[in-house]
Amino acid sequence: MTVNIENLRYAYDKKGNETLLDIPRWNIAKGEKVLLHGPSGGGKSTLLNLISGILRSSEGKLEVMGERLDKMNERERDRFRANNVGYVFQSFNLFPFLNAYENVDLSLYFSQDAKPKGSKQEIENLLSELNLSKSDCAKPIRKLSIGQQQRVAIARSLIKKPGLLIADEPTSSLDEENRNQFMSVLLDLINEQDTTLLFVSHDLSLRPHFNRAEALAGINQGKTI
Amino acid sequence: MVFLGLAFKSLISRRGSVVLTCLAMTVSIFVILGVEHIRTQAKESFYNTVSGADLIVGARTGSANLLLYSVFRIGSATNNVSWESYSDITADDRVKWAIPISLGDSHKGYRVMGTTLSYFEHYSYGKKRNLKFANGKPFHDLFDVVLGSQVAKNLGYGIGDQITLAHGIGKTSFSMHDDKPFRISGILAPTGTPVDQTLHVSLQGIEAIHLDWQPGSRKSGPEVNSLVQEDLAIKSVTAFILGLKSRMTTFEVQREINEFSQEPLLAILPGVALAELWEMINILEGVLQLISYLILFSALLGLAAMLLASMREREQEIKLFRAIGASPSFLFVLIQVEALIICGSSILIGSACLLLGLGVTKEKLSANFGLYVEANIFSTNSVLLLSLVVIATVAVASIPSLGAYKQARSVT
Ligand SMILES: Nc1ncnc2c1ncn2[C@@H]1O[C@H](COP(=O)(O)OP(=O)(O)O)[C@@H](O)[C@H]1O
Ligand SMILES: [Mg+2]
Repeated sequence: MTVNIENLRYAYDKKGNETLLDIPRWNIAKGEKVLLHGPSGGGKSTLLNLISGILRSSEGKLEVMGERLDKMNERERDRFRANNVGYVFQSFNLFPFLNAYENVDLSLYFSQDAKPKGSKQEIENLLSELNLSKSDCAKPIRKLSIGQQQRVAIARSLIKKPGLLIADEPTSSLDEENRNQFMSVLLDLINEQDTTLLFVSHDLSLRPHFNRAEALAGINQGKTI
Repeated sequence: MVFLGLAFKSLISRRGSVVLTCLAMTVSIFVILGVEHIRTQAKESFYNTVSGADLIVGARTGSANLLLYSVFRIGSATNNVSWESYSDITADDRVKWAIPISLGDSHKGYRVMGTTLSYFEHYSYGKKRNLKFANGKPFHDLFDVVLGSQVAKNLGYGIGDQITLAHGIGKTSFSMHDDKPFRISGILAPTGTPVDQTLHVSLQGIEAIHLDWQPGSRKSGPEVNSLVQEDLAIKSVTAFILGLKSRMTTFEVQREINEFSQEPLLAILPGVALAELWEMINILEGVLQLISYLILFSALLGLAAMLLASMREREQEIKLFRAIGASPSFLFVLIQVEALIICGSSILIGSACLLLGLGVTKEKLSANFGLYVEANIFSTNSVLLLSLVVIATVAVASIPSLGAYKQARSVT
């Protein structure tokens, strides 16, 4: 089981008057590819932040890859995330002051305690596998197209071979061609590495790529605004 | 190191505001180091004007005045000390050595001082450094003169040159049939003190200058070449410096001189008088220091403002850092390292500019202001000051660093 949630509750305001998330039970099996969808403001990103350990739940059980995140302190959750969770956003996935190669390398830096130090070669191989030329990888990020940037983001999040990849609307700013390319390289790598995928999108045309599609409203009993 | 590399690249990506901030810090470090350096150097060179002397004695006047004319050769004495008193006092058992000083004459704007060979033996400056000859030897003849290094350099004189010494200060009104009777016997090595600006002759040489040799009124005076010892009998000295056999007797001798019955005299302790005089002339010191601290403070505020403004643009960066596993303290340190890089490069550039500036102006400072400034700016004090700057930078950068830390913890 990669994600195992029981009676998880989360509220931004400390008094807990308005519980945003209240999930009695939700699981994601290892290697599963899940599409999570729902209206904006529903709490999808919040749930992803809980699962990755950026936010901490106040109540309930949250187990990710066999580890009780709700029992960890902040430092342990940071370490856990660095080693086990890849993250791709809709935008701003890369540091603008680093080039593609350096962005991927930095992500490896934070996880290097748990994994053998990734070689330069490994990074270059992955980037070329993602159709990024050597010269593109040495360019400043802003000189790359959005499509290229999102592919570097895939490399950045998968270089450390995480058990779980979280993607928060990663295709929302891509055109159809780039979106298809993005999905195909992502899924190839995911399958290759046997990574569990939790993918948030409102684009239901992506449904065929996944084992399962889930509406947040279907699992969440919390109050939505 | 990851922090350094990241901070450096992040700074380069914001080079516009970073360069300006760095410039402001550089200027402030230049000013703060420069003020500190010149201040300590001026003080040091002031305190080092005379050393090893136990008492300075002159006619009764203010102690600052006595110090000014006897050591700094500024201003003039209202009264002289009679030769009898000088002989009485210096004959005392407790006195080890004495240097008489006879002032009142000049050569092309430089002071002429009458003294004895004791001057070359006992006068010391700095950390008990004795006078050294760059060239030649002390005066032995009535018309021998020994030049301070600046006098020789600025007037272009060399050993054996013949010059005129005039009676009175600041004019060359006197002539005689052999109108250049003085011969340069020696040139002293530079000392960085008023000695460099002085011409030294024997006490008899001063008396010779004082003999009325003006044309027209000279008929009763002796011929220069037939001057005899009686004509040159020394009547008085302007002041004198005493070295005692035992430090313990200093206060006792001082009191006795101050209560001297034959004429009103004043004996001062050079160290005390120097400190008093420095207090009088250093009012600017504190003001300059205050101004340099204020400049530093404003530069630091500029640094904090720049970093704080950048935080707004970096909200996304912080979110990304968190997503890839960076802890909030990582972000705190990263911002601190950025501030320290700016501070460090400012220190480097600021000190380099100061070193360069001092190297270029050193000559001018000594020639125009008599200020002898060493180029080595890295004293304990300046290192302390720079550490203070670094600590202040860390303190000021905590504002944006803590901001980043808090933001990192509440990120979604
Ligand atoms: N840091 C935060 N503090 C307080 N409220 C927040 C914060 N982040 C998000 N919210 C609120 O929580 C709700 C869910 O947001 P989010 O999880 O981003 O939804 P989604 O990703 O489904 O659009 C929204 O109403 C949003 O305003
Ligand atoms: Mg969202």
